[in-house]
Amino acid sequence: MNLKLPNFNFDILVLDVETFVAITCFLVAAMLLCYLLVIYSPNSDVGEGILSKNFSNHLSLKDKLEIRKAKKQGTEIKETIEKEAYETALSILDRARSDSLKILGQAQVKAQGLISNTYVISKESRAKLERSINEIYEKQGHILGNLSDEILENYRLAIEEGKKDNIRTLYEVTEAMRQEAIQGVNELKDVVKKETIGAQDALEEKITMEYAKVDSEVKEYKSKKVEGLNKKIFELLSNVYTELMNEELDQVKHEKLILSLLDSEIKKSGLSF
Amino acid sequence: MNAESSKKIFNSLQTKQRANEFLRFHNLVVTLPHRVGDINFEELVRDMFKNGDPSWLEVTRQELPGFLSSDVKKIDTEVLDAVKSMIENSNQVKVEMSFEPSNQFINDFINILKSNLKSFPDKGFIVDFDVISGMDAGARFYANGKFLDLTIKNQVENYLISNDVVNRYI
Repeated sequence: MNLKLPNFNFDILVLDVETFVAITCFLVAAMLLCYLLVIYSPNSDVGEGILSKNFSNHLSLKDKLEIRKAKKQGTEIKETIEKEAYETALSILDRARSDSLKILGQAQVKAQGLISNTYVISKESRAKLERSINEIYEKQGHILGNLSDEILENYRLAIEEGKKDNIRTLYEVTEAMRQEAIQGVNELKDVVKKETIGAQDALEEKITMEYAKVDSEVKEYKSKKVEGLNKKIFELLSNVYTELMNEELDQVKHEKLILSLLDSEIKKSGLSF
Repeated sequence: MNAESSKKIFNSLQTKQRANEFLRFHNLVVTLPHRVGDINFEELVRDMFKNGDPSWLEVTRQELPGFLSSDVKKIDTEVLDAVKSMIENSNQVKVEMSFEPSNQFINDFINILKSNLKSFPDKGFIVDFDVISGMDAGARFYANGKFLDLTIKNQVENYLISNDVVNRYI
């Protein structure tokens, strides 16, 4: 197994030459300007105006005119001084510019030296680093190779064990499913059997009931029909007999017949008052 | 004597028709004292029974001698009242038949009733004979809310049914 570790490059912060020169010039100029402003500031004597104002209230006109004259002379002197200071500042600025150029030149030279040294160091470091990394690579690769072999072996063993477990589990599950299926089928068979027997019984009962109903209806119909037929036959026979009897009966016989019937029927029926 | 006379007169009545005749006669007798003027009782009776004297009137004459020829006596009236009372308390029987019964038949009929129905021997029988022309031979008998079919047709049918003639011979 060939594993490749990532190559980390540690970048070395290298100061740019142009940036260095510009920063230096700026700093020098700023320092000079601050110096000049502090030295030649017109408000350097703070509180002078306030004092003179309080003082002028107590002076005479002559004194005031002299003061005014002196102020005018002072103003002229001030302007002269300012002019001289300005020129001085300009000369200082020129000198500072030339100094800064010199410094810049020296700084550039130094910077070049620093940069080349830095480059040499980084080149060596990089080579060393690469060597170390390669060594680490090799070691890690070796370790990883061993590890991967072990892992592979373990993995193979685990897979085989898992396979066996799976096969065993599968067999158990299959067996359980088979048992469950058999049980389900048996239950279904029992239920179907019970239902079928129940349905058959219900059907038989219904058929028996229907048969009994139909049988009773047929019997009823038959008895009614027979009864009707009997009645008709009786009527017919009795009519025939009556016709014959009427032809045969005279009043005396008729009266005797009625009396005989009355006597027998009263005795038979148990008629009473 | 009076009770016996009343019974004899009642026994001579037998039918409802005669009983009704007697009741009309009794009514006539009862109202005689209230009539005004000369009354000829014999004429009144003749007017009442224009078709001839009924048989029970002869029995009455025998039991109450001089009753129609002279004035109505109280004792005679009492006999008649007793007969009326016997009629009202008698057992009423109705018979439907197709011919007018003879007196002999009526006598025999009453005798059969008397011999078979002895629950109230003191009570007599008054039979209402209803003649229905075209009726089947025989008679229909109604007594005390009960009915006996004595027609020949019914008797023949009963005989056929009781002997299961249809199933046995047809």
